[in-house]
Amino acid sequence: MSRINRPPVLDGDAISASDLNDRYADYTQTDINEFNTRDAAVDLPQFERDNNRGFLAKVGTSVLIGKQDFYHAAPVTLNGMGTAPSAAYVIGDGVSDTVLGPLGAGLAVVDDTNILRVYWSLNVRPQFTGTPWTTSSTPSAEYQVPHTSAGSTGVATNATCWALYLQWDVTSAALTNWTEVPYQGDFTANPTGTIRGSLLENTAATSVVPAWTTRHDAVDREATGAEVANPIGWRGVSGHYFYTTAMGASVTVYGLRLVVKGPMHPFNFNGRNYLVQQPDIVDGGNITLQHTVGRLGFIINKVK
Amino acid sequence: MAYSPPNTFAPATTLTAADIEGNNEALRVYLHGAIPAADFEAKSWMQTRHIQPPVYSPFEGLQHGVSGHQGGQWSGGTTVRLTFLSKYLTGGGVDQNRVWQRIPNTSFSVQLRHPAFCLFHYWYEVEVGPDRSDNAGQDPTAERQIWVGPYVGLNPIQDALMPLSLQQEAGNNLGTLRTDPVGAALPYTVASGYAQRDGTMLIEGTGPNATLPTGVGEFTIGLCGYSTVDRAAIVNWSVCLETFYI
Repeated sequence: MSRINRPPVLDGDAISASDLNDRYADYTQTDINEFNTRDAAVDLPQFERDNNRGFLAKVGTSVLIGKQDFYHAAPVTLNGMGTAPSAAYVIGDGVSDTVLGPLGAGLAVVDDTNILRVYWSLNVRPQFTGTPWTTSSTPSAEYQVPHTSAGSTGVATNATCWALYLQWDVTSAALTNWTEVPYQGDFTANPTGTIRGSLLENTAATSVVPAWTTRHDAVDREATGAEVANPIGWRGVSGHYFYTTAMGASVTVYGLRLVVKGPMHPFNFNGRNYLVQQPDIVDGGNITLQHTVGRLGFIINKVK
Repeated sequence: MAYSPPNTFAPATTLTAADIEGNNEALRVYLHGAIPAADFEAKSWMQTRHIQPPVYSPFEGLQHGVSGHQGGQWSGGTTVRLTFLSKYLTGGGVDQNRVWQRIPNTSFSVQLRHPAFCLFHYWYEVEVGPDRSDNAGQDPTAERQIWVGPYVGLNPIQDALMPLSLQQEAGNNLGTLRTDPVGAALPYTVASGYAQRDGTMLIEGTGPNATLPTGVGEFTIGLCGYSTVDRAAIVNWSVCLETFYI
């Protein structure tokens, strides 16, 4: 919108003819038109733009992650991790990592005026061979149900899972400084000296996928029948994460990516609940996670 | 005629109060009612659409304001709207015949008055199968499933676009008896035939990542699906739309 923007005359200012003329010339505009009224006075303030971005949605974008093989012709296969701690797998297309970024400097700035909202999805299929839940491990993937008489029957906890979680790079567009987002651990904490995992309160950006589900065919109302594993099959897993400066410092987000670890299992130690790696039940490729394609996206909303 | 100051000033001449006041007075007259019509562009430039009152659309469950749309609908409430998928509408479970179909009730059609970011959320709870039919050309029973995800107003739904943001469900409850007594031998909850899924789809209307149309005008988004199972009952669901004008 056109507006006069000229400093007032102050005490001691010299009077010049050109300045006086300019001051009156300020009012000689003839193009009182739709831009000066409609667009500039009504539309643009409502849809105020910030670097050509939206007022309420400053920036947002998404990318495909994983392998674009939606009908499972040749999905990516990740083997269970037999050691702990292990480096996480980065979701990729089987050849290279698929990440969101690099974002331009200044494009995705999270400060006290906005909020970062991140969403992801991925199509996965957990698979296994044999009965890995019966392998001795800590934490155990099986618990013993006492019989009404003597003895007991082993039953899978069905809590073994894969954990997908979010990392970002807030250092540079080179994308060489990936770290977990705030309130998300990397599952390398070592509470017992041997078990590697993260406290549940540090899993704010984690999605889990069950590694298997089993059932027992009941015999005389007791779980003494055969334990039968059901195929998990292909399924979608999704997650989201929000970040504000109430959780940490202002940041410039240069990149986002999804990583995965597994098999994992809940674990209680000294009254604290963890999600930890379960490497002892891995034997080569007996526990795998296949994945195809998904999406990782974010939007930054103005909050004040 | 636009305002024209009656007096102009030149260097090295005497500045008089009368000249200054003369210009000021002329400006007062001009601004306080003497602006001639010719100084205004002849056509109307302020239209109703430039002053947007909030609008609530009860059927879609959306409200529209100056910055975009927000709202959603769900399967419950006073009018339960159970919905479904069936392979008999999507190609009979034969891959070569694959067709995507819209899922009834789960779409929005809104008027975008400005290019926008759109964020679509969805959730559904489904019972899939059991399907042990043996018609030729189908996937093995253990491989049968449904795919569900958002679509954007393209007609027909293009198979090549669907992997953009889909959540899929491995259904087909296999714990089912085909001989007397016919029916589920096990609860769906332990037989992999029952689940809930959720997801989002963000559509950017501008910039290098614009892959879908989000220009000004009618914008349709909703859930669609492809099934290789004879029937999948979507017993609960919800969809929600956020659009932010940019």
